[in-house]
Amino acid sequence: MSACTRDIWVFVDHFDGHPLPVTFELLGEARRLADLLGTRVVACAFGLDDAECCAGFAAAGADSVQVFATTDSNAYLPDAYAASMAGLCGTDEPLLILFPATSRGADLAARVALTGNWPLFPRAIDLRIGDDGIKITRALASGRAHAVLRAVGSATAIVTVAADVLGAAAGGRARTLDIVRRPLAAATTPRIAAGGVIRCDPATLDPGEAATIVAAGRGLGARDNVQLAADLAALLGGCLAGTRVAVDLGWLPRSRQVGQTGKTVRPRLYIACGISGATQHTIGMKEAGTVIAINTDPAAPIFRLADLAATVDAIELLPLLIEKCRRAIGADAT
Amino acid sequence: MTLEGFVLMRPVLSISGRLRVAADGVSIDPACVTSVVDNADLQALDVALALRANGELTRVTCIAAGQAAAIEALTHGLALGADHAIRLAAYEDLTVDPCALGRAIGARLGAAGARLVFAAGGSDDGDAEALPHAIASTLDAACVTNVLGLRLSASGILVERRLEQGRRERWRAGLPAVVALAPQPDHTTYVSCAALAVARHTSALDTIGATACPPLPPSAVALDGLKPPRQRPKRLRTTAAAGAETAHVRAAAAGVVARNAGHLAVTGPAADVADEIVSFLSLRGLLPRADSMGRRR
Ligand SMILES: Cc1cc2nc3c(=O)[nH]c(=O)nc-3n(C[C@H](O)[C@H](O)[C@H](O)COP(=O)(O)OP(=O)(O)OC[C@H]3O[C@@H](n4cnc5c(N)ncnc54)[C@H](O)[C@@H]3O)c2cc1C
Repeated sequence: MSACTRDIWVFVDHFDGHPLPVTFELLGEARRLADLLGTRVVACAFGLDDAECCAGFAAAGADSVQVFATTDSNAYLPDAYAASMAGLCGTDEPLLILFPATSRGADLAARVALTGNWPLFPRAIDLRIGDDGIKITRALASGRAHAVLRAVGSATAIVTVAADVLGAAAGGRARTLDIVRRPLAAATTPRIAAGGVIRCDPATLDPGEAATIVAAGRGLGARDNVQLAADLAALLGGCLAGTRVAVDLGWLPRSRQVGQTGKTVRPRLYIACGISGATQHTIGMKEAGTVIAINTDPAAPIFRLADLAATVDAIELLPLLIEKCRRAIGADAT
Repeated sequence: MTLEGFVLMRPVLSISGRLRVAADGVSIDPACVTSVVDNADLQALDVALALRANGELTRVTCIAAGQAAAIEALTHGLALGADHAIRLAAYEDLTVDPCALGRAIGARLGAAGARLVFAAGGSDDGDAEALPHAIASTLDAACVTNVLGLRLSASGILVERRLEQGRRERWRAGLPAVVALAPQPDHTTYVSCAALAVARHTSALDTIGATACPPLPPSAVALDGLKPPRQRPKRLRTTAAAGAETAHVRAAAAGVVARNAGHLAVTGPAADVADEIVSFLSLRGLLPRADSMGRRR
């Protein structure tokens, strides 16, 4: 295949100076496509001028970073971001821009696409290189059909991808990153006055919005052991939830119950501790990205849903797991 | 203040049984298509109806573009309490370019003098992420997305948006505006059968014929083919670099980890199992990054 001169861009969504994990999935996918086409991967970051983050982008596959300067790195200014990205896209004409289908990523993707009349492919599930350009697969008909689509002509394809759809890929060889700093463009007709981010106390984070859930069931035996699950959740940046039995036993408030008569959750990671896996519970968590189940009973139904089934005593395991996770994360380094 | 609220209702198709692709390769055999109503659209309508009940909107009109599925969606809208419904009959129920369709709907809403439009902001197929923006761009309106809470004032709207991990942000915008609401999976809106039966015979549904509908802008997206969805969700690829010997792989070789009915099964002393879980989390990129933990503290 002859080398393509048009870059592949990835929009970096971030909070508090930390790119959302989906960024690295998209950079890995962009790298894979760029290697096939012989082109470059460019990360586009607003207000994230940080050497450590840039090194992370390079390790994940970026050749270059476009850093747009902002006064508040957490604030998302939709009009100005769209004007900046669309302006640059109009001159540089990338082949493809990948946006995470996050609250901000999906919003910005549509704004950019409509500014330049570029084709928008929301919630793509697969990207391939075909004879006549990039083929993008996305769901139609409430997800019951998949459509294989492509951009008409040579227009830049604007694509959003949800977290965990493509999965993380190895970044390959380390790259020397070229960093380009740019001012934020002013929108011609700004329509939205955006305020700053209102943070959420991890202790009150709603399970329906958490990326990681550690869930407690009757198998934890006592309220004190539920605290171990809460500690693991806090360490992984997630929240504690549980079964109706755990709620009925007074170990958790009702607002943390997952299942038929509780919440429906879709976290990236669900760790079920001492949970049997009754249908009334699993109906609320079956769409979790990765499920780790910890249960002493090798025949527990929860294992049927699990990506990793650990047949072990959760009360014995949790303190060790917390310690080992802490070490792996390096959270005891400070 | 007299303000009419418009609510976008999407014709949503589903497939009964297995997808059958028509002979042209790019359309669905109509025999396997059924119409469904997306709860997210009904939630958007609920918000508009609550504002009407509060006296902040004088009237609520639902709008949909399409055929049988659009009629179904609008009938549900009327059954739930909308005053009026408009169907744009020039378009198909299924679209591959929601931006083009949104622009056409926006043009019609502009002709109707719309200043406040509500829409679902999320759907399995992603259309709901594009339509509100496309409508707003044609109406020359502000588009606010992922909205959880809304306040109307004389100067416009103040909304609270949902961000990842429980975060929120507030946006202020003037009218005209398109409000795309955050999906709320635990909030189901029920439509009574009696109300549906009445709505099927009401005269409140206006059909705008093909000649009176705004022309569909040329599509920027080409459809190459349709296929049934993968039966099983794609498994996550792991971050393991090729050839890297992980604790996990070592343990598999030692028989601590076994492949069992599609998942990994781990058993043994708790310390070994803990090592396996950490290794698994790290392979899947599910451990928080060291820098983020360090800075969070
Ligand atoms: C109408 C209705 C609605 C319901 N709604 C919900 C709902 O919304 N959510 C919900 O969760 N439930 C709901 N339930 C209840 C549901 O049917 C189950 O009873 C409940 O989910 C079981 O909770 P559990 O897994 O914590 O307890 P159990 O089923 O008792 O399971 C405990 C598990 O822990 C394991 N275990 C024991 N000791 C250990 C140990 N040391 N280490 C590791 N594992 C251990 C056991 O092997 C067992 O598998 C509902 C029920 C009804 C009838």
